[in-house]
Amino acid sequence: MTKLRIFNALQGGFRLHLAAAALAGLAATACSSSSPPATTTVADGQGTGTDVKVTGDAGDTAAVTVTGTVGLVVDANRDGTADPANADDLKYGNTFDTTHGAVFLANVDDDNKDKARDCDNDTVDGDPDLLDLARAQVVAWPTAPDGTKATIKLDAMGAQNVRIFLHNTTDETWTAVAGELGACTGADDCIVTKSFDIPVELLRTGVELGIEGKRFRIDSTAADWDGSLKLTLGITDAAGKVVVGANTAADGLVKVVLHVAPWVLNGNLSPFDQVRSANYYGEFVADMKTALAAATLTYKTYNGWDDQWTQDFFQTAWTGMPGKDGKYQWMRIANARPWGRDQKGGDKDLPYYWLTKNYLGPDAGIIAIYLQPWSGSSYDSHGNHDLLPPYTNGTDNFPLGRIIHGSGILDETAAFYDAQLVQGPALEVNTSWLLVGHVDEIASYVPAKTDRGWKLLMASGKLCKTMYEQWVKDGNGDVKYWTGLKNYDPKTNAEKNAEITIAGTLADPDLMQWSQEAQTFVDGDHDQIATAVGLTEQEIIYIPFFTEDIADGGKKDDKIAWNPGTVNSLVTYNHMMIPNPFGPVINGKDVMAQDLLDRLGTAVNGLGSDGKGLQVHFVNDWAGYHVAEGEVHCASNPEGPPPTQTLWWQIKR
Amino acid sequence: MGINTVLGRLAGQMCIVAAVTVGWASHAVAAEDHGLVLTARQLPAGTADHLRALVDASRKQYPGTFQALGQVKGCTRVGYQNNRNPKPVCYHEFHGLGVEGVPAMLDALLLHDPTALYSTDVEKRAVIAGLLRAVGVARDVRAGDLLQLIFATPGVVDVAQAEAAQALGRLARDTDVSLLIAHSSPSDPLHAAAVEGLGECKQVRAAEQLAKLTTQVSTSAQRAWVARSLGHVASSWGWQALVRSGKATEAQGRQVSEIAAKALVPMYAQADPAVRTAVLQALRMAEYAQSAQLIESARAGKDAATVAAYADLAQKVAYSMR
Repeated sequence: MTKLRIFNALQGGFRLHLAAAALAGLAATACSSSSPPATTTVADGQGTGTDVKVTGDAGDTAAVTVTGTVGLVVDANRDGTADPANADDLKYGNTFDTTHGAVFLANVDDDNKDKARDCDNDTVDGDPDLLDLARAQVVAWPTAPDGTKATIKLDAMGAQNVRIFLHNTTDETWTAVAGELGACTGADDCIVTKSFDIPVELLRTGVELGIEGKRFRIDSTAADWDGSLKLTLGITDAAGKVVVGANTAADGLVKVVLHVAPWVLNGNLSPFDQVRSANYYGEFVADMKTALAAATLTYKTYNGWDDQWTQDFFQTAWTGMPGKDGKYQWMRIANARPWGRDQKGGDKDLPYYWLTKNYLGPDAGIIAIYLQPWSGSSYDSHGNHDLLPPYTNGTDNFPLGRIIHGSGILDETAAFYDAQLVQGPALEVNTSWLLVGHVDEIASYVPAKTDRGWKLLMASGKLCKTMYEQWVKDGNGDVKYWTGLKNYDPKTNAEKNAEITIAGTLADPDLMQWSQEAQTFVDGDHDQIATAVGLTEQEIIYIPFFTEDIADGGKKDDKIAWNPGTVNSLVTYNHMMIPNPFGPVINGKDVMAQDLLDRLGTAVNGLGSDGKGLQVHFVNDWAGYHVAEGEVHCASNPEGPPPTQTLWWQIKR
Repeated sequence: MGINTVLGRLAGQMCIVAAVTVGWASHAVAAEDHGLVLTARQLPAGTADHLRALVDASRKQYPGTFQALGQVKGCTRVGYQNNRNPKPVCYHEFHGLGVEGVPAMLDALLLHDPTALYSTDVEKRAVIAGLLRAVGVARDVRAGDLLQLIFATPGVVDVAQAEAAQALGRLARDTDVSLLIAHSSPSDPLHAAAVEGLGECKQVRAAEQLAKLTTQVSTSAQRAWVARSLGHVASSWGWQALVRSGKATEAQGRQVSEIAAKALVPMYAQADPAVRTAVLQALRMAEYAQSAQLIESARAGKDAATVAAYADLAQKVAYSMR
């Protein structure tokens, strides 16, 4: 039996070789010949993609060598097109490294606005959706004889995670031909199709394929999908003979591979363009409106959803594949937390449902990576999941930043982060000592005009105590603050005056002991972050506030910011929306606010892209958020496009 | 003047205590009385009556306080589920009642369970923890004997024992400290709670007992727990607060800091991550001025790995004391 091999990747240009070799006794489906057949050049041509010849006739056992751009081409050179005339697309089709290799998107947005993700049906959802399909090109073979049959096979794991559409140029339609076919809402309406044929008529003209991913890579274990789609093209003639050629895989088939683009988490230095929060607390909304206008960011508020903790119930990220003109073809991604606020509405109270109604749209995708709805805990709120900005420390290199999270997150979430490969392995720090347990309660990150480009903000009870002691030393111990602000008071089930003096604060042995213990926990997290990143002391800005421990009856430590937790701020590059500290007013100035302005908003610490300081905006979050166990960062959620300075595929994975 | 003396004087000035003391031990225990953590039947003869009198007087003076206890936002589902991290926490609300709310909180704990509106065990635990934390922080001697009962009565829910122990440590009357010490033996069922309570007790003898326990406990968890409490008892910030308010002297704070540090540093020789973490944190809290010298001495004669670990410890303690 003859097996034909097709060259799809040519070395030394586009020379075409037709050769014949005897391959007696090889099985059609499992050629494992370790020595390639002898070849003889019988025709030459220049690589136009059309001058392909096949020799040999029915019954002949001699293999036929075909040279030229016959085969299957993907966008291996990452220029946004799968081009049979491009040497790199041809040469690197079966490669994936930092310079070459094809990519496809998890098509989780909703370009036709039908409130269903585009990957959740087996149709192409309009022209915008076409942009989200990676392309492969079956190269035209104009002289393909009648009876020639081309078959493309998908690897088993890849087939379960993608969908392939075939482009019909006569009516400009796209038909799903492989991968998961059907609505795939469950096992009963989903057929995994692992191969499809290209009719000879389409083989002669060439045919374009569109590829969408149905999901991101979710795990790094060998048993799970590695994020790749391996495609194999085989062509047989009418007699069932297989074309064989040089420079193909040993089994004579054309092999290409594509990888699903990773999910990439946003961080404080991302190029945000909009921020969301609940329309929950008027003072907060008004301050945010002013601040975000100054930052020239769009501000969106929502009503009718019982969750004012916008940072926590979803997480913003992006994904992108190489587009044309050196730009990403990308979409935003919101990742839903596994639990909602109330279960009265059943699963309609899950964040995923809210995202479906309020976030999903063109170039705005949504995902849920949890295994069970209503699983997880406060640790799985996304205030506990953040991103260290880009850094290099020795051999560690994180050009797109490194995911940092606190204690106790769901295993599948940790696995998902690491499976993306470009922002991991994630760094876990201890947040179990906090009542809420979120990493954004103790650390944040701001741009700086330094070699690293950013500095770390860390909570500091120690600095806070030093400041209070200085105020006492200056004779201001009796100064009252928080005058007019309210705390909860069970007698009215409402609020109680929170007023206190500077000296009275320092004389509270419980508050001081709790704050000191919190400082030791923060010191531990500081040690870990500073070591991982290689931070010097000059690269850390301490943010002062005290901490209390408020006993929830569940675990041993339940610490939470006593003053407004000012490290828990929204940072949108040069702008910082920071909780109003409502500090003591001495000589007409809020001295806590002034301290923050001095150290964050001036050149003293070289912050901001120009080193002249951040634009600091104080936001009143007291009654809506601070007394309810959170702050500005918990209350807001920014998003934006991918950064342009680093392409994820250039990161060694 | 010691902290207990001050508290005793404060207590002596509390008119409510004076008023109700007259009526102690005059009423029979009502069978139907049932608090969150104990029933009136579990109270010694006379104690329930004494408490009732205290409660009755307070109820007349602060009726709203009693009504409010059953429905604080932090522990009612609609309060915490929709607007907070979805777990009940109600210390803030109870703490907001201040000292005037202590009788109402004791009533809730011992006589009249106010938690009909709290539907789950998690909510009830949070209510208990919040009540006892608030009572403890109030340092109200009226609560002392009742806290001792809650701590020492067999079968009381663990969260109540732990919080009662801490409250006793904060109150720190002689009998409170003695009770905690008596139950701090590693084999005592209340060992963990007692150790936690001693950590809150800003007294030399509490620190000495904890230091003694470092050589008596046998498990990693116990060692870490004792170390943690040594950090609490020696908390330099806590002592400074007491000194500022005239409830302790700097010398007392220094003495406790030294006791704690001398007990903690040798513990670090054990290559147990949990213990080492606890020791590091405790030393950071004690801020003993001669920590570096203690650590240097402890390194002598140790193997290379231990010497390196001590070097790391010295660096980290120095960082926190910068």
